[in-house]
Amino acid sequence: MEKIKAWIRQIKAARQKSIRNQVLVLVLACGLLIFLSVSALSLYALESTRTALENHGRSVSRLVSDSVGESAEENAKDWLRQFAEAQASYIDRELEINGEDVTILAQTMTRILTHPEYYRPRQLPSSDNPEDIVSGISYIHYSPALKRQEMPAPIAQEIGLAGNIVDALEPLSLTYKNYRTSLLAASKHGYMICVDIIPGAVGKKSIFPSAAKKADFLANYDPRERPWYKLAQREDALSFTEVYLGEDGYLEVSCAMPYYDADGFAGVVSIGGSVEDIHKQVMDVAAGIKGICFALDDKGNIAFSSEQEGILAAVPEYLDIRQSGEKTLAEAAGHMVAGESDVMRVTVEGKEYYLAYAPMNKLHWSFGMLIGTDVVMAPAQQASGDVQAKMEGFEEDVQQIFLATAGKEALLLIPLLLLAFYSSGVMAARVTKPIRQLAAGVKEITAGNLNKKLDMNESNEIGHLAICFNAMTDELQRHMKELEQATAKAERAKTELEVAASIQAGMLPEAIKAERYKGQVDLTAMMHPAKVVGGDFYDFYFMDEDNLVVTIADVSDKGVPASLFMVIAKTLLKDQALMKKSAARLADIVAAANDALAASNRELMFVTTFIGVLHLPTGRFTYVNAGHNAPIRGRGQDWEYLPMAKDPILGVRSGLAFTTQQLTLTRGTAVLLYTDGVTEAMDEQHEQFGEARLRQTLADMEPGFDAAGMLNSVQAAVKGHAGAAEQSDDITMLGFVYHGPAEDKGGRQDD
Amino acid sequence: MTDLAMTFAQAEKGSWHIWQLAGRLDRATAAQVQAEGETLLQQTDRLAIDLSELAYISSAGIRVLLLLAKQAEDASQPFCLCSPQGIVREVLEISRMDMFLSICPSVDALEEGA
Repeated sequence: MEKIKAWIRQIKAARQKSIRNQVLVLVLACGLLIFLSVSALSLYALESTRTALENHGRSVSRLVSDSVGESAEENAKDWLRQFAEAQASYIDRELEINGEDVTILAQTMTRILTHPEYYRPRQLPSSDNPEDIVSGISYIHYSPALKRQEMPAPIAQEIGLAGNIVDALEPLSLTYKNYRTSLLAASKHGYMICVDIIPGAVGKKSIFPSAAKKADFLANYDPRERPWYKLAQREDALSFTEVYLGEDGYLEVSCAMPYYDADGFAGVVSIGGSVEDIHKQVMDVAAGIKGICFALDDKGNIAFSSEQEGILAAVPEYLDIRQSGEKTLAEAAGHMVAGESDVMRVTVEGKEYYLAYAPMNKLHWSFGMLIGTDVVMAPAQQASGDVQAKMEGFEEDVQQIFLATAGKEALLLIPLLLLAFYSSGVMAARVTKPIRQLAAGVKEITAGNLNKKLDMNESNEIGHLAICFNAMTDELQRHMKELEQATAKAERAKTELEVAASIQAGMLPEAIKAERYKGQVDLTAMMHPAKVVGGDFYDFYFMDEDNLVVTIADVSDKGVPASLFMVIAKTLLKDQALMKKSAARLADIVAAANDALAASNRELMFVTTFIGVLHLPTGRFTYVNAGHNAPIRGRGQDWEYLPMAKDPILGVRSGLAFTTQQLTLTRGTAVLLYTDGVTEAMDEQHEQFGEARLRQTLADMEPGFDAAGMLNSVQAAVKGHAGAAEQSDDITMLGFVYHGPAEDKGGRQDD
Repeated sequence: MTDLAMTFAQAEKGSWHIWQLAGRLDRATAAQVQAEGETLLQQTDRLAIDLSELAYISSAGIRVLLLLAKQAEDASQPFCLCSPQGIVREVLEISRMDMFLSICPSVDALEEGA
């Protein structure tokens, strides 16, 4: 159960995207792919083999059956022919033997009749004995004609003499004991000496099948009427008769030959055999070969046959097979009658046969053997069938193997799948383990624990990555420390700067409230540093009750060094001014300050300064311009710059002399002191604000402005001009409006 | 570090080495000019800075020139600024730089000899 849960968990986990799962899927896919392709390949191979086997099997069996069939046919034909010839010649030989025997008998008979002196008269039983003559016993038969008349003496004598033939007849008859045979000598006088053989019943059975037959025989039988007698007489040579119906009711064939006495033709010797025996022989053969045997006489008529019915049966009526409706048979019959020997294919009553025939020369007959083609081909069919069966059996085996293999493969798939899943899971986990370790470690580091060191023992890329990561972490730690220190330092610096800025700001006097010197002067000043602390400064203070000192200065550079220098410069100027306490001595004041500044100024910092003293009662303005921008003064729309600076910048060289200048301000005149942060304020196109624009701004002011308003106007104009551009220099301004003394003492024109 | 706001050119005229500054001499370029100038002062007998192509000078630039002049003075080396133009000229005039160093109207006016 736990395992199943683990599986389910694993499957759920597999839905998540991770390298582990990717590896898992990849390995699984690869494994499956390999397995499936191998399976497919093997299945294909099996299938192909099976098909090939099937085809080969078929063609082999066909080949076998064909060749077996062919050779079987050939063999069968050869064998048939040989057999037919054998049978024909056997039968022929049988009949020939008959012929030889007949010849011996005839010759013996001839000798007997021509040499009576050698023989004594013999007495033979007569056929008309009340007791039947039995098979194997020689007897004499008198034709009815002879019996009717008185026996002439010479005939009686001849009969007695002829009786000696039994000495030849009987031994000869013994060789015929297996056949129904009649061996006889028939005289022209009408008597016949005969011995009949009934096979298996020699000495036992009557030669007469029935009493009626006996009677008929005795009454009617005249050998001279018999066909064999007539034939031999006619031919005057050894002859074979046709098949005829014998006295005993059996079909017979006889072999007959004439014999002679001193006068010539004396009679015919004949050995007649029942055709039944030959028929039996034929039947045996037919049974043996499982076919049909028949004998065709020279008239095309079937003399005897193993068939009881059908075209090939022997019928009593004369039927010429050569005229048969079965064309092939008719043709073959023709060849048979012609005395040929061959094997032919015939069709009888729809069935195909091989017909082998061979001539029986003695009778001028032909012996025919029919074997069904199916019988002949049976062995071939058998062989073919066997081969086919074997092949089919083989195919079945292959099929079984095929199915079994396929089944086994399918069965194998399941455990393989499980194995693949499991092992790929293990492998994926193993492969990704270092990555996951790394990821976990990195996570810890990013969470802030920079002391975490990745401890990986891998020597591969992961291990290398871990080493790099550790190095990076160390670097990061160091940088963090440095950053902390730097930040702390910067913080401190910033704080210090801010302190400095606030100190600086505290050093610069605020504006003079208008109320304090109402009616005399209205003054406002501002300093906006470009950096936290600036290098510009302004100053204003009262030298004494009537003299207001205004100062504006621009230290070279910006930032902390400039601001330090600024503090020194400012202090020195004020010190000197308050020490000398005289507008007339303004040049000396500046010179003294310059000397002090230049004394310990290794960095060669310098400051441009404009310092002026306004005598409030008279409006007289005494000033020294040491390298600074000329202030602008004016009233209403009338504004003009003071003359250019004539004195050098302070702090560079000591021992320099300075010049004072003077002018008188009328009531309502405003004066603006500024640094170049105002005139050189640039817009984004690097175009400076410029003196002209400054003057215009002041001229455009609404009447009734005060110092603060003036400064605001200028500041707004500068801001408007600069636009998005950064403030590049300190912007410092000091502006005042001179209203004159409280009592109106009258104003004078400017100098 | 190349600075597009300032380019330099070197030339010789007689015993004077002419160093032409072109562009803007301000906070950004001051350090570079100071370093170059100090090197040139050591390498040459007489150094003149040609300001004809200088378009702008800030207080930081002025300071650098003053420093170079002081170094030259300490080494008893002739040092001269030549042909300031436009606002550069104005600034030098207003700050009365002529009181601290030699300014020549043009390179041709450089005097030979001591």
